[in-house]
Amino acid sequence: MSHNGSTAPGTQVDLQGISKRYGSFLALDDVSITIEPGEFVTLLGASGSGKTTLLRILAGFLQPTSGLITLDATDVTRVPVYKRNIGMVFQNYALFPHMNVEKNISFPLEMRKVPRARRDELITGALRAVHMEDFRRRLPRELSGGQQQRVALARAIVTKPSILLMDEPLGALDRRLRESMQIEILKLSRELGLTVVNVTHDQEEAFTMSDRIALLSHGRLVQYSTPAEMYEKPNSSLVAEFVGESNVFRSDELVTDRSRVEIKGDTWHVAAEDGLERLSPGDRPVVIVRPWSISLTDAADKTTVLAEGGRSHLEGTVSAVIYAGESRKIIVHGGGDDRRELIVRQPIETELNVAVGERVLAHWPSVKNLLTKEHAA
Amino acid sequence: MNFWTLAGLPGIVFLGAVFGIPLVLIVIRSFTDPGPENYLEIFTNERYLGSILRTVGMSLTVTLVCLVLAYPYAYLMARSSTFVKLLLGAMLLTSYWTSSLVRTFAWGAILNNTGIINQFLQDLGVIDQPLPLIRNMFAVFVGMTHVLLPYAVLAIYATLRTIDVDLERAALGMGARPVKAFWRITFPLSLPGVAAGAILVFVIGLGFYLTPMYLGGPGQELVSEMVAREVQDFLRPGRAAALSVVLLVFVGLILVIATRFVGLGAIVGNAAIDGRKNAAK
Repeated sequence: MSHNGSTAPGTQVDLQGISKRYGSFLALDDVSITIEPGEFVTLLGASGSGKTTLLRILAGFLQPTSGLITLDATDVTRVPVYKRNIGMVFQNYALFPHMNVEKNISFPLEMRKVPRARRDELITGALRAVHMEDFRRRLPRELSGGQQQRVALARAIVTKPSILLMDEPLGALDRRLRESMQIEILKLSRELGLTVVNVTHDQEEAFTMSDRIALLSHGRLVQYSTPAEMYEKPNSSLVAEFVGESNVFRSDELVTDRSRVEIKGDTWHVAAEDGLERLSPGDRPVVIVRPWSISLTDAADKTTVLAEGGRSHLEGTVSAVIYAGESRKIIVHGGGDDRRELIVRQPIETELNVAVGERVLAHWPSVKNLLTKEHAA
Repeated sequence: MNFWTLAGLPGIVFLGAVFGIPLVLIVIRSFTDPGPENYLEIFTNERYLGSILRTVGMSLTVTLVCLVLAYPYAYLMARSSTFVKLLLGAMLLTSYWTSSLVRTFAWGAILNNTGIINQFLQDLGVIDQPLPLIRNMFAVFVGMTHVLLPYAVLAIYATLRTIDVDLERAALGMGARPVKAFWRITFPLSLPGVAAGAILVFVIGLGFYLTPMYLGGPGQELVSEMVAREVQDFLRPGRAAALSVVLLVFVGLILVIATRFVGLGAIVGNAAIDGRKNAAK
């Protein structure tokens, strides 16, 4: 399909102004995304965000109410699903229960009229790619969830489609299997040079796998960028809160000038300079700090710690210390009228230097603060 | 004795008294009144053999037509919006729950020589003499199909609704046209439901009495009518008992063979669960 001469045989996907309306409900509102050949893009969002609807529109299972879908500059908006050369992995794998592994994988080849003589070689290749050569004669119900997932993947890639769509493909797997499958799928799609569009509500999965993430909320595209950019330069509080654990500071008491934003509450004070250019006049600034950036010291050291300047802080009482595997989560209760709470994360191998009930100063360099704007609903 | 055995006892006693014991008595009578020659008579007399063949033939025809009519209906019901599903379901169940006696008499009113169809055609001047629409096998066939259709629809529907719609979507995504996706994926997976519906309709059809009696013609009795006539007209209860036993054994055989392919649960109403189990096989 590709005729742009790049190394990736994947398709360029262009979604322009896609909207989908169900009666008075707008499931998708003017979403535009361009995906470069060979790119791995994840549609990320909570349930009801429209991510699955968008994928189904791209696949051709649904017609958009308005908008244009082009694959390699060819308009396919009205092309029925069976004429688009796509591979798709469904949430529950959608393996045909009455066909064994080999017949499942042979199905798309038969439908695409691949000569019988060539089928076996392609089936073997696809099975080898997902390490399932020994399971040819098994029925889907004789396979574990992870194995079914692999077969579904083999079936999706056996026709060498230029685009692979995945609808929460790892949702039904347990955590460890999910993590190893993430890496495997990524490797495979890179080897084949596929353009991949993945749908998930799991931000960790999105960050692990994607070149770019499209964050959707209530049918709208909130941000479309690389994972790093999304994490470091969220374009609204909604993005920041969705991707990773966040402490979000909002306040009526704010000082804004051309160079910095300062906001404070009864027991805290935060300042931010970076990202001011992303705010427009009229935006409500929001300051976000990640739990990993925060240090804790005895409240008595406050003056010493803050003397050097350039630090944001919150003073309060440790209300909980929670062990969460590789990290420990400490909750600091600031008290005051705003009942401010702060989440702090520490690697488990560092020594715990605070105890529940202790007065502490939580502080961090203000350069770690992310400045963004309140999400307009 | 545990609680459920105790709680089940009244039901067991009731069924045993009104069904089990009479059944045993019938079997005994078929061999003793006047003797086993009842069976010899049934298997040698053309009158009985013809009736048995006619019954099986009628039941088979009705089964086939029911399946052809029921499948698309069940498919629509399984894949439609809630509103259409409710509408189709309500139509089906209204028919299902209306007494077969009422439905049979209704067909009488429609097919009679002075019934709706003949009256209408005569009024139009299309025909002079009423068409022979009643007192024949055609009328029996129409009536039985109407009464039995809901069984087939419900059995097929129960299986179809357990088939993940994503399977068909997946097939389309792999380049199968909708018709092909249906025949290769949905249809084979729905076969347990089709089989359950077929067996249900066929077996119930074998024992039909009211509909053939009211709509059928002379000399074309089905087995159940023969049984009634042996008792009422010929006063040969032993012969009637033997005919009943023959029918019962035949039905039993069909069910035994059928359960090799479809779970018994699927036939007696639990089609959804058994359908899934079988679909996986």
